[in-house]
Amino acid sequence: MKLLIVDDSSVIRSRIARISNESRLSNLNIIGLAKNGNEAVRICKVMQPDLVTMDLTMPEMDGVSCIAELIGMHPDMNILVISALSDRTTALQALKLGARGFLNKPFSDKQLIDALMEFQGAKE
Amino acid sequence: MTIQLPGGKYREIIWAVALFLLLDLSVLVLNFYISFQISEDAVAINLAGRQRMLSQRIAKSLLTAQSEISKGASPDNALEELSGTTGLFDSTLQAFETGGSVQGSDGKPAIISPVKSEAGMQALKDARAIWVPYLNLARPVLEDKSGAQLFAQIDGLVSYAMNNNLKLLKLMNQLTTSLEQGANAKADTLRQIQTGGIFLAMINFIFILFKFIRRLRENDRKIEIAQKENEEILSTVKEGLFLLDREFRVGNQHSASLEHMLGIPIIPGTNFREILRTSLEQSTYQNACEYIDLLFSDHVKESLMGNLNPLHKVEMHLKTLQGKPVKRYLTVEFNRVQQRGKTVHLLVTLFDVTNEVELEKELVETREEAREEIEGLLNLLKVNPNMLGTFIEKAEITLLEMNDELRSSGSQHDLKPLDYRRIIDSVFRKVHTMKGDSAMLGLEMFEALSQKFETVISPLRNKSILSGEDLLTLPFYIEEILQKILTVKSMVERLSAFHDAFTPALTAENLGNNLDRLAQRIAIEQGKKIKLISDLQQLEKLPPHVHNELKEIMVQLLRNAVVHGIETLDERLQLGKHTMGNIHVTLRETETGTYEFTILDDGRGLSPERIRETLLKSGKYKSAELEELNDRQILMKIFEPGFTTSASADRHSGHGVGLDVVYRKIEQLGARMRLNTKENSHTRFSIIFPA
Amino acid sequence: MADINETDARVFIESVTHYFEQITGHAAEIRTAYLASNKLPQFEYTGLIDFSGQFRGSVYFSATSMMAARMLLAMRESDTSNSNLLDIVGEVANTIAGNARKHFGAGLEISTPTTSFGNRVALTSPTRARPFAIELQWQQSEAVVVVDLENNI
Repeated sequence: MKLLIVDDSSVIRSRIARISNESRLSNLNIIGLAKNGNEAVRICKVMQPDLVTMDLTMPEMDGVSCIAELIGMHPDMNILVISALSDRTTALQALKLGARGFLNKPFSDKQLIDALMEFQGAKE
Repeated sequence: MTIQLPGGKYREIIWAVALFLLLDLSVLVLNFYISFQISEDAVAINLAGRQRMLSQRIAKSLLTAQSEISKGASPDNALEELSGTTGLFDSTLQAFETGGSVQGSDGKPAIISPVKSEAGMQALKDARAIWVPYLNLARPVLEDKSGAQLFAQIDGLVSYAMNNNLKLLKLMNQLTTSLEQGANAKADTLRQIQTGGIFLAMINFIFILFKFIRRLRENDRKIEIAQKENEEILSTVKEGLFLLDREFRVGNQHSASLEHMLGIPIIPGTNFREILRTSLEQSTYQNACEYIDLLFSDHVKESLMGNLNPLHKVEMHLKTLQGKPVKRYLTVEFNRVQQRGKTVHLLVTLFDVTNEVELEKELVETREEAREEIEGLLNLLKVNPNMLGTFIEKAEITLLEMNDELRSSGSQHDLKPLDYRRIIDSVFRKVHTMKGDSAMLGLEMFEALSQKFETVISPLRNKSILSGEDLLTLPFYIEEILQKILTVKSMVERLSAFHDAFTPALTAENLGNNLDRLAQRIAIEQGKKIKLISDLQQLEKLPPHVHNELKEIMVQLLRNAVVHGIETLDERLQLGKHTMGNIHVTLRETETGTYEFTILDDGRGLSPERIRETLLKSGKYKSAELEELNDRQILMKIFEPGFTTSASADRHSGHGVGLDVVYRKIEQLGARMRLNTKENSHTRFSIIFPA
Repeated sequence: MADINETDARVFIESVTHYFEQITGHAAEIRTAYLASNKLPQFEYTGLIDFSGQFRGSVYFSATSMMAARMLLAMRESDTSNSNLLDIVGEVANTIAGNARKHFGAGLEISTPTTSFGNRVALTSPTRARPFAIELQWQQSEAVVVVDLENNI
C-alpha cells in the first residue's frame, strides 16, 4: 500500500511516517511527504498513492481544496483526513468531497494504526 | 443475508407435493393405457358382432343363390356376396385366433389382437371346427360359379350351412360375450385404479394441507413471539431506538422512550430532520444533517467518522409529553445497517445524558464558587470576627428596611401619589452609611457594592421629577448585596462549625484528665512521683471565653508546681515526706459570688532567700535594690518576665516564660491572686475572679 | 454566578406597560419595585408563565378585578365575565412570554400561560428567596408583575 502523508507540521508528518513504518502493516510504503496541498497534487501527478493522510488547515492549498483536486484526478483514491475537530463543518465537507474517513488530532499510535488498517483491505 | 434454499423446513411439503403429482401422473398413465385397451376391445367386440351378422348373411346369400339357381336365374349376385361375406368372416376369424389386421366396419383396416380369454378361445376353436368343413364345401361352389355341378354342390353346402348356421351364430355370440366380459373387467380395473389413485391423492392432499397449515401456524406463532419480544424490548429499553432511512424518515418501529425523550408522538415516516431542526442550534443542525448524509454515502468508512458526530452531549430544546418546554442533553449514535454492502438504514440510538451533563456542570460551578468563596474568605479573615458579625447584621437590617420602604410605598390602596423623593433620600442615606462602615472595617467587597449602589442613586437625587420608574432599579442592588451577605454569613457559619469540630467542649472531667496526663508526663520526665487531685465541677458554670483563659493559667501553674514545687524522690525521703507528691487543683464558687481557683502542692515551697539569689545572679537587680524589698515583694518577683530558677532550659521550664504569662492572663480576667507558701511544706496559688 | 438583572426584568415590565399603551394609548406607570419575601403580592386575576432552559422560574402578572375589567372595556369588550377577565390576564402573560423569547433568545423555554382567579396562590414555591415585585398603576387601578427567575448557568 503506497502512502502519501500531507501535513504542514513536520512533527506530525514524521510521526505519521514513524508510526506507519513501525506498524507492521504489510506492504506499507511511504511514497511521499507533502507539506501543503500543492505538493500533494504534484506528487499525485507523478505517482498514484493508495492512501493519502490529509491535514485540513495548511498554507498554500488547504486540505479541502486538495481533496477536491485529488478526487478529481483519481476518483477512487483513499483519503484519510487527520485534523483537529475545531471545525466540524470543514471536516464534514472534506468527507462529502470524497475523503473516506476522519481521524481526530491529537491521535494515539493505536488510533492511527487502526485507521490505516481500515484501508489495508482496500488494496491487496 | 442468505436466501433459504429449498428443503430445510419445507422439505416434507415439497416431497408430499411431488408424491401427489406422481400419483396423479401414474393414475393418468394407467387411465390412458387401460382406456386404450378398452377402445381396442370395443373394436374387437364390434368385429365379433359383425361375425354374428356375417354368419347369418352367409346363410342368407346361400339360400338366395339356391333359390336363384332353382328358378333358373343367375345366382351370380348372391354368390358374389357369399364370397365377400365368407372371406370377411374367414379373415376376421383368423385375426381373432392369431391377431392381425382386418377390414373394419368403416372400411379401414382395424388391428385386433388374438383372443386370450378361455371362453373366447373355446368359442373360436368350436367355430373353426364348423368353419373348416364349410370352407371346404364352399370353395368349389365359389370357384366354379357356372359349373354343372354347382347345383348339386350348393345343395350340400346349403344343407351344411343350415345345420351349422345357428351353431356358428351361437359361437360368435359367445365370442362377443367373452370379449364384452373382458372389456368390462378392464373397465372395472380402471375404475378401481382411478378410485384408488384419487383416494391416495386425497390422503396426500390432506397430509399436505395438515402439515402446511400446522407449519404456517407454527411460523405465525414464532413470528408473533418474536414480534412480542421485539415490542417488549422496544417498550422497556431506556434508549430511544429507531431506524432512519435516506430521506430522514423514521422507520416502522421505535422504542417507547423515544417519544418521551423527544416529547412528540412518533409515527412511521416522521421526519427526523424536522425534529433536529426545531431542537438544535442552527449550525449543529446543519452539521448533523451532513453527518447523516455522509453515513448514507458508502465511500466514507463508518469507523473513521465517529468523532465527527456533532450530536454528542448536545443541548436540545425539546418538550415534555405535556408540551412543556424542556432542555435535554442527548447523545445520538448512528450505526449503518447494510444490505449487500450498501447502507439502507441507520440504526439511531438516543441517550439522555442530561443528568450526567448537569452533574459535570454543577461540579465546575461548585469549583468556581468554592474558589470565589475562598478568595472572599481570605479577605474576611483580616477583619475582626466580632466586628464583621456586627457589620453583617446591621447591613442586612438596613437593606431589609430599604426594601420595606419600597414595599410600603405600594401598599397604600388608595393609590395616593407617592413621595418618591423621600424614599430615594432615605435609601441614599442608608447606603452611604453602609459604605462608610464597610470602608472603616476594610471590607472592600461591601464597600465596592455600596459604592455601585450609591452611584445609581445619586443622579436620582438631583432629578427634578421622580417616578416609580426610578425605583425599579433599586431592588436589584438590594438583592445583590443581600446575596453577598448571605454568602458571607454561610461562610462564617461554616468556619465556626469548622472551629467547633476541632475543639471538644471543655468539661470539668476532660479538663481534669488533661491536667492529670500533663502532670504525670512532666513528673516522669523529672523523675518525680505525683498525685493530682482535681475538683473542677464548677467549671461548667463559667462562660466559655473564661474557659480558655483559665485553662492556660492552670496549665502554667500546674507545670510550675510539678517542676519547681514537688521535690525529687531523694529530697522528699530526706525530709521525711511520702515519695508521692500531692497536688490539689480546685475551682469553687465563693460566698460573694466570685470564683476561686486554687492550686496547692506539698512540695518545697517558695524560699525568699533562693529567689533573692536567683534575682541577683540574673544581673537584673543589684543587691542593694533587693535589700530594700520585703519577703512578700521578693516572692512576687517570680511573676516577672524572664524569671526562672532552673539552671538549664528544658521543655517545661527555664525559658523564663511562664508565670509572667499567668500574670497577664490574670490581669485580663480582671482577677486577683493570692499566694501562700511555707518552705518544705506547701505552695498555694489562689486566683479569684468575677463570674 | 450570573443572575437576572434590571434589563432582564425590564423586558417583562415593558411587555406589560406596552400592552396598556397599545390598547388604551396610556402606558401603565410603575408605582414601586421591591423584593417580595414571604408573601408574594397578588390580586384577583393572575396569568402565569413558567420558564425553563437557560433560566428557571416563573413570571406572573396579577391584576385587580377592576384593572382587568377596565382593560376589557378599553378594548371595547363590554362582556366582563369571569372567563373574559381571566382571558385578558392570560393575554398579558402571553405578551410577556413573546417578548421574553425575543430578549433571551432560544435558550429560554417558555410554557403556555396558566391563569387563575381569586385567592389561590399563583406561585406556591418560588425559585428565588426574594422574587422581584413591580407594582403597576393604571387609571387608578392596580396590578403587579412578579419576576421569580434564576439563571441556570
